[in-house]
Amino acid sequence: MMTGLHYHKLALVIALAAMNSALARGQSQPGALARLQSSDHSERRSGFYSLLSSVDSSGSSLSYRARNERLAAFARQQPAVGRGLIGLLERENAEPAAQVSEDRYIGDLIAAVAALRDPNAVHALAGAINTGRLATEGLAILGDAAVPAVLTEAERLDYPTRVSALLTLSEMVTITPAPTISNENRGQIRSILLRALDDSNRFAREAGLDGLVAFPDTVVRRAVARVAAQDPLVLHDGGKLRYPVRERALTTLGKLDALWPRARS
Amino acid sequence: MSQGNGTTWAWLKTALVIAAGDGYGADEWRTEYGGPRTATSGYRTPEHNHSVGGAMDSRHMHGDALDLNNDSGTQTEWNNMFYAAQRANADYIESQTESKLDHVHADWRNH
Repeated sequence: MMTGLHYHKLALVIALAAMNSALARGQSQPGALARLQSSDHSERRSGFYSLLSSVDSSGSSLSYRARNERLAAFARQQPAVGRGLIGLLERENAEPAAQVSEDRYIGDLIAAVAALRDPNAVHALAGAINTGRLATEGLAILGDAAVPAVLTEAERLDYPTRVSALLTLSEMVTITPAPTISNENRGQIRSILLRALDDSNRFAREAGLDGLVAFPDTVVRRAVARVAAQDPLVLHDGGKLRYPVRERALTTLGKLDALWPRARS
Repeated sequence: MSQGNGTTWAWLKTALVIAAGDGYGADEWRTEYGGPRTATSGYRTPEHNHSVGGAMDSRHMHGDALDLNNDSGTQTEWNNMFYAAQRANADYIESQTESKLDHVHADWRNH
C-alpha cells in the first residue's frame, strides 16, 4: 500500500523527470534548429527528426497525429521552433529535386507545419498544395488567412495545382469546426467554385460541386442541377456506363435540398 | 498484382487498414478514378522493402501506402490517378519528380 510519503516521493520523481526532459529539449533544440537551415538536404532532414523526437519521449509510441500536436504545442512555447519548421518547408518546396521517392520526410514535415495552425505557414503550405490532404487541410483550417493564397493557386493554368486549390476552397467552407471566413472571402470562393462547374477538367468540376454545398441559394442550385442533367463525362467501368460528375452533382443537390429546402425554388 | 474492383484487393485493405466506404483508401481511390487499376505495391515487410530497393523508412512498411500503375504510361492517366488520390483523401501523394511517370504513390499516414 502506498503511504503519503510514497506519493510525495513519486511526485518528486515525476517532477525531476519532467525537468530533465525539458533540459534535454533545451540542449538539443538549438542544435536541431541550426541544422534545419543547413545547405545540405540530409542534414536538414536529420535536424527535423531530431526536433520531432525531442518532443516524443515515449519513443514513437504516440499516434502520428498526437506527435504532431505535441510538436505544435512545443512550438507555441518556443516560437523559434515554428519559424524554423515553416522556413524548412519553404526551403524544401524550392528544392524539389532533392526529394527522394518513398522518403517519408516531406510528408512528415508538411504534417508538422500544418499542425502549427499558424497563419505564417500559408506560403509554405500553399507551396505544397499539390501533395495531398495534409497540406490542403492545413490550409483549409486557416480560413481567411489562407484565402488569398489559395485563390491565386486556383487561377493557375496547370491543372494539378488548380484542382488542389479548388479542393482546398471546398474543404474550407465545409469542414467542422468551421474556420473564420469573411463574407467577402466567402463570396469569392462561391464565385470560383461556380466557375469550376464549367471547367474542362472533370476533377475541377467535382471539386467545385463539393464546396457549393455550403452556398444554399437558387443560383447555385440551378447551376448544380444543370451539371446533374448535362455533364458530358461518361466512363465505361466494368461494362457499365457511369456519369461520375452527374452523380456527384446529384449528391450535392440532395445535400442542398436536405439542408436548405428554400433553395429549391 | 491485383486488378482492384472494390472487392478483389481485400488483402490490401487488411494490410493497409483502409476500410471501404470510409471516404479514403484503396477502394475510394479506385472508385474516384472510375475504373480498374493495377496495384503494384502495398504493404511490405522490411525484408521485402529492402529487396525491392524501397526507402529505408518507406510508408509501405507501415501498411498505409499504395502504388498504382500507370497502365498506359501517359501523362493524362498519371494526372487522373493523382486527382483521384486527392479525392480519396490521401494524406501525401508523391510528385512525379519522386515517383516518376510509371506509377502514383499515395499514403494515408494521418488516418
